[in-house]
Amino acid sequence: MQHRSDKLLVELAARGDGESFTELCRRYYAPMVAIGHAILGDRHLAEDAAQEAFAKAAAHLPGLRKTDQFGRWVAAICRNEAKDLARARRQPQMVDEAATERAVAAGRDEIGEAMKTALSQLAPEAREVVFLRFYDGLSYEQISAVLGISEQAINGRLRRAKERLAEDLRRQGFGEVAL
Amino acid sequence: MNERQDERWLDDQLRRVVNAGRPEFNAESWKRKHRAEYETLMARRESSVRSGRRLVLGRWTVGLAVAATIILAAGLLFLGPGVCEPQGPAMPSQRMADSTPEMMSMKSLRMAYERGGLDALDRQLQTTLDEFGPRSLSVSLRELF
Repeated sequence: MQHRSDKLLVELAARGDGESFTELCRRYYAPMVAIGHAILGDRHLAEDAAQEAFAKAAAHLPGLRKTDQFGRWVAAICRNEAKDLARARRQPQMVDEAATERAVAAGRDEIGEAMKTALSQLAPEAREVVFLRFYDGLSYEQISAVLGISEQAINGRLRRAKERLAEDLRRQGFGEVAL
Repeated sequence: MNERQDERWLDDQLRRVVNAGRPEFNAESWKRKHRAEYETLMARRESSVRSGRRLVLGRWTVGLAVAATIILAAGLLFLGPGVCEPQGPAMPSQRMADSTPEMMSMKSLRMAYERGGLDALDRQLQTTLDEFGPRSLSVSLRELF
């Protein structure tokens, strides 16, 4: 199937083409869930935030002027949705509860726990780029479409985040990690 | 461990901790859950068809207007130098008439030319065309000619 640009899909969707909107949702669902997960620390809540973001996007799509920046726009909506959910939940966590339970069931996962603690200490922007990159191996191009920054800037942000994580892990007793 | 190995180890740990599997968008479930928003989106299809028809009609009207304007301007320019020479120094751009039909009239175009020469005539024509754009539907052909 021919790859249609975001701009074309947005313009078609804004004229009521449901299939084009669905295609946009498929294209940006994983990045939106990653953004939600970075904020909420819960996969299911992150999916709720992503779906709410698409609902708001559907309602306000004709108001989007920069039709080539759908990813960036829906990411901003998704962040707000996730923050609202986090406030409602009152106890945001930076780790996947189900994954934690699995780790606990399999025995104590010290490195995993330390990593989750280190992730929770990162600035929101840094944590977001880490989740976008490692959630499902999203490409720099996909991340760039969502964050609205260059691939070089993403690389720099990711590098600094990993240095921070390594430093935090060293403080937690994993002294061999040096970036 | 060296730096490269450390980075690979760190990446592996991040994948292990962060990666929760690829989420798949279930369109049908989303449409059911957000029926109102989806129907709002779909409702635009019909209105966009109507606006498409308006656009075609609007383009036809604007085309007619442009042709009429060119004929009027050509007639004005070829009437003779004595009749249409601008009088006095060029004045700042000013609209010569309030309504679009009036702006289209020979009188307003001639007034523009007399006040500011070809530049003023050009501005008047541009203003007229600008006026036609979004309001073409509100001007009937009878009003135009």
